Amino acid sequence: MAAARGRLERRVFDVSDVSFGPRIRLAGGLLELDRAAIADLVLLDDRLTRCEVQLVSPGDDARIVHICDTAEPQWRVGGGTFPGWTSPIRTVGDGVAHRLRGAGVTVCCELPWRKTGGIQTPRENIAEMRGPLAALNPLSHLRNIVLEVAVRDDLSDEECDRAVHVAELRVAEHVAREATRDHEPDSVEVFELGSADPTLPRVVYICQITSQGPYAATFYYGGYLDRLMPTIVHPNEILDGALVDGNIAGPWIRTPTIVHQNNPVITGLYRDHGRELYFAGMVLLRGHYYGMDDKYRVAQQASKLAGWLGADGAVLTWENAGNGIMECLYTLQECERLGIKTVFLTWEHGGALGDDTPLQFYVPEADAIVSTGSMDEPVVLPKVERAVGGDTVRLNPQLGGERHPAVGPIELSWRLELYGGAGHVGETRYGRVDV
Amino acid sequence: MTTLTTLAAEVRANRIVAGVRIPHPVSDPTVAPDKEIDVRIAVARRALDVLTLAVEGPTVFAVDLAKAR
Repeated sequence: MAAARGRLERRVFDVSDVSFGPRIRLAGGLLELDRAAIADLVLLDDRLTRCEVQLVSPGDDARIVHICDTAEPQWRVGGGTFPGWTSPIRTVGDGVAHRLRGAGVTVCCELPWRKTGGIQTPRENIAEMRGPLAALNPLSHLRNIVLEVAVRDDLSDEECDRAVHVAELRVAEHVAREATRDHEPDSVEVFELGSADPTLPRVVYICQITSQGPYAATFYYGGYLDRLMPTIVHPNEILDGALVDGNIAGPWIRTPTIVHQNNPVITGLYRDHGRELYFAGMVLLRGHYYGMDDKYRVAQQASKLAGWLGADGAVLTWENAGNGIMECLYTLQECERLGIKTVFLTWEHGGALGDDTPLQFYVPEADAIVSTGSMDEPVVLPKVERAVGGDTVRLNPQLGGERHPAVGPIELSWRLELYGGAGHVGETRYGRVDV
Repeated sequence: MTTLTTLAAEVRANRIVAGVRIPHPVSDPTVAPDKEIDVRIAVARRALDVLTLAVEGPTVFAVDLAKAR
C-alpha cells in the first residue's frame, strides 16, 4: 500500500551546549543563538506582546513554569516543516529532515484563566531541572531554549492556544534551519516500513490522543483533532511533526510535541522491525468522548483498522486521564476478540500511599500491562535559585486559584502539575521517584 | 447508575446500570428535549426493573436505548 512507501531520513545534529552569541550557529555541539533576533521573530506575531529568551541546562538550580509545550528544533529540507503551522499543509514523513538532538524549544506563557476549574483550564506546568524529580520530565536532559511570552488581553482562548504554538514552532524551525543548513550531520536515522521477513509477527501501534478544545488539544497538521474518527497514519508522519501537543490542561499526563517527534514506541518498533517483528503500521484515535456510543464506535473502528493492517499483535497507548482510558481498553478488548494480541501502556492512580485502585476502568482482556508511573503521591518541590517562565505558579484553579513564588518551595497535593511526568509512551526513564 | 461500571463493581455495588454519557449517566442532552425524557425514563425503568432481579455479586445491566432515541 502507498502509505508504506514513505522513507524518512533524519539527519541528526547533536547539541551538547547552548549559549547566546552574535548569530545562530552550531559548531562542535555548541549551539549559539542570537537572543534579540529570536525574540524579534516571535514578535512578528502581533498576538504576542512580549518575548524574552532564556537558556536552561541540565543540572541548573532552576525550574521552568507556565510551560505550554516543547518542540525539538526540526527543519524539513524540502519544505513542509510543522505543516499547518509554519508551512502549508502537506503530508510529511518522507524526504529529509534535520533535527537538533539534545535541544528543545519550550514556550512559557501565563494564559488567561477564564474557565477556572473546567477541563479546559490551562493548568500550571512545572519542570524541575535538578533533584530526583528532574528525571521525570522530558526537559531535564535537554539544552532548553525557553521563550517567555505574553499574549494580548483581547484574544480568545483559541487564538491564545494558536499563538503560543506558532511562536514555539517558528523558533524550532528557524533555529534548526539556520544552525544546520549546508552542514554535515553527526549521524543519520532512516525510518522506512516495508520489506522484511513476512513470517515475523505483524505488530500495529494503536496510539490514542486526547483533544477537547483550547488548552486540552492535540493538533494534527495544525487542526484540532476533537472529532477524529480513528484513522491509519504512517508512523513517520508523527516523527516528522504532524502532531503538536496542546494538552496544557493535563501536565502530568500529556505528550509534549518533542515526545511525539521521538515517540519511543515508534522508534522501538522500528528498531525491532525485521528482527523480532514486522512493524505493520499505526492507528491514531482520540479518547475521552462523553457518550458511551462514541466510545464503542471508535473502539470498533480502531480495532477494525488494526485488523486491516494485518495485525497479529498491537501496542496500545493512551494519554490524559479519567474516562479516556475506556476507548483504549474497549479497543484492546475488540482487538483480542479479533485474535490480535495486545499490550497496554498506562499510568496509574493508586492513591497517595499506592494502595488504592490503580485504573479507573479495566477489561479482563487487558492482561499484559506496562505501568508508566503514578500521579497520586503528594510532593514538595524544593526552593531553587532561578525560576524561568514566570515569577509565580498558579495552583488549585477549582478553588479560584492561588499563587506561590515560582522559586518555591511548592507543595503539591498530587503530581498533576509536573510536566510530562507520567510519560505514557515511556519517554522518561522513570515513572515514579521517592522524594 | 454509572458509566464507570468497573469502579462500581469494585466497591461492590450489586446492581449496576450502565449509563449513557460520562457527564450525563441517566440522560442525553444531544437529543431533542421530548426524546430526552424518553431516555431518562428508559434508564430509570431499567434501574427499577433490575432491583427485582436476584444477583450474585456485582452485575452490570445494559439499557436498550434504541427506541428512546
